[in-house]
Amino acid sequence: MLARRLRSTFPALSRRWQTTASTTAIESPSAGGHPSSVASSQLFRMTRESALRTPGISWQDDESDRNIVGGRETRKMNLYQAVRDALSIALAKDDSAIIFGEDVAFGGVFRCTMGLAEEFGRERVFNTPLTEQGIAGFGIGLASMGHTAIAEIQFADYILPAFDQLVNEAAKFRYRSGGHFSIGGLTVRTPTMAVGHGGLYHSQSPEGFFMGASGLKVVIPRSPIQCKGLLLSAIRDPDPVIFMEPKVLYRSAVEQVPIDDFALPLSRAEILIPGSDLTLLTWGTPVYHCESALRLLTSPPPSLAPLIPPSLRSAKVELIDLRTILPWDIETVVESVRRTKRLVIVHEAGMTGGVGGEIAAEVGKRAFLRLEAPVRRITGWDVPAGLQFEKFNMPDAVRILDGIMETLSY
Amino acid sequence: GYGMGTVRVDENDLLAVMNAVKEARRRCLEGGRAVLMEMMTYRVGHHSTSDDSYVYRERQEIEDRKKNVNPITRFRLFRVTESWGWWNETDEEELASRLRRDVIKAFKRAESVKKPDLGDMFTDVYAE
Repeated sequence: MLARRLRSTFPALSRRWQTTASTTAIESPSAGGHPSSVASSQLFRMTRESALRTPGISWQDDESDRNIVGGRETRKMNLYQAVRDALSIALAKDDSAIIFGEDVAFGGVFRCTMGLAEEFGRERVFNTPLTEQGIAGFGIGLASMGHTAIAEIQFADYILPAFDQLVNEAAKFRYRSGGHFSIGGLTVRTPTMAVGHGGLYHSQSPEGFFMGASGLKVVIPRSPIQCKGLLLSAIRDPDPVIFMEPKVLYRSAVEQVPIDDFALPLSRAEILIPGSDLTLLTWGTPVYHCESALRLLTSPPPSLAPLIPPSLRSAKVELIDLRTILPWDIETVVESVRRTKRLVIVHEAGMTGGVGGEIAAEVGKRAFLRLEAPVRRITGWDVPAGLQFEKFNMPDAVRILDGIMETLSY
Repeated sequence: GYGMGTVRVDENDLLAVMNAVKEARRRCLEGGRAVLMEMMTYRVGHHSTSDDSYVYRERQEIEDRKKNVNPITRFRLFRVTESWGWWNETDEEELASRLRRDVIKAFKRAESVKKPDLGDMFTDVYAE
C-alpha cells in the first residue's frame, strides 16, 4: 500500500523513462519482414520537430496551457512501445487503473505490457484465465464501480466470445440506466488485421460487427504517435472504447513519439494528404497501401505505366485516415467528398457488412447530387481470411490504384 | 454432483487407461448412467512455435516430467512386450525407418504439387 502511494506521487516519469528506454533497442523485422508500403512510407513523423507538431495534439500535463513545445522531448518508438508508454502513463496518473488479460503479466505476446507488472505491481497488471467473455465481463464490473479497467483481448479474432458482454452489457450500460450508471472506465485493447501468416483466426478485422452497438466506441490507430494519443484519449473517454491495434504495425511502424502525456481527439478523421479530385478513405494498415497506390498513380513503374493514362496521373487524391470507426467523423468525410465528388473506401474486412457500406450509404445520402461516380469500396473478399493467398485477399496498392482509376474515369 | 460416476486416470499409463475405460464402460452399460473420465497428462512442448512456456514453468519441471510422460516408453518398461515376443529392438528399428521413409515420401510428393488455382480462395464458403 505504502509502496503504491509512493510510486504514484514519486516522479514516475523517470521510472517510465527507464522502462521505455531499456526496450527501444533496434528491432529486427518480424517473421514476414516489414511490409514494403510501411517501410517506405513518408507519413511517419521521424523528427522531434514534426512529432511535436502533430495536428490535434493536446498536452495533458500541468503545463497544458503552455503550448510551447520547446522543452518537450520525443523518443523513437514503434507501435507496441507507444502502447506501453501510454499504458504506463495511464497507470502512473490514475491509481484505479489496472491492466488485465491473457499473458499480460510477463509483457504480453506482442510486448505491449513489458515491465508494467514489475513497475506497478501484480495487483495492477495481472493475467486472467482463458476466457474472453470473462475478461470483458470482469472489465465491465470493474468499470461500473468507477475503476479504470484496461482489458486486453489477445487477438481481435477472439473478441467474438466477448461480443455478448460488449454489445448487451457494455454498450447499453448508460442507456438502460437512464444515465445513472456508466462504464466509461472500460477500454478493451486488441491486436487486429492481417499480419502475413495469421490465417483464419489471427488476421480478422471485426470492427464491422460492432457498428450496430451504439454506446461503444471503436478506434483504430495507424502509427505510434496516433496510437499513444488515441489510446490515452480512449482510456480517459467517458464511454467504453474498443481499441484495435493493427498487429503488423507493432514492429514496422516507427516514429519519434513525444514522451509527455498527450491526447488526440476521438471521432475526428485526419486528412493526411490534401487533394481535390478524389477522396480516399481508410484506416489502419491499408493507410500505407493507399499511400503506395498514390505513388504508383503519379509515377508508375514501367510495368504499370502503359495501363495508367497520363491524364489520370496528375489527379490530386485526398487521403483520409478515419481513426475513430464508431462514431465516425461524418462531417470531415462528407465535406471532403463534396469537394472532390468521388469517394473510394478501403478496408481489410470483407465487403459485405463492412464499415465501408455504412459510410457509403451515409455519404450517398448527404452528397448524392455532388457525386460524379458511385462510392467504390476496395476491401477483402467475402471469404474468411485464409492463410493461403492472403496477399490477394487484403487490398493492396495495385487493387487500390485500380479502384481509384476506375472512379476517376467513371 | 450430477449423478455421474467419475474417475481420474493417468492418461500416459496404457494399462491403467485400458482397465479404467473397461470398468467405466461396464458401469455405463449396467447402470445406464454416464461416467466422467478425467485423463491426466502433461504438455511437454510450447502451445505453439510463437509461444514460450518457460515464462510460466521451470525447464527442470519439463525435463523431469519428460522422463515419465511417453506412454509407449512406459509400456515397454514393463518388458511385457519383449518377454511375450510381441516386440523387440529390430521391430523398433524397422518401424522407425519405414515411417521415416513414408513421411519423407509424402513430403516430397506434397512439395511437387502445384499451388492451387487462385479461384480456390472462393470455394467452400457455402455448400453451393
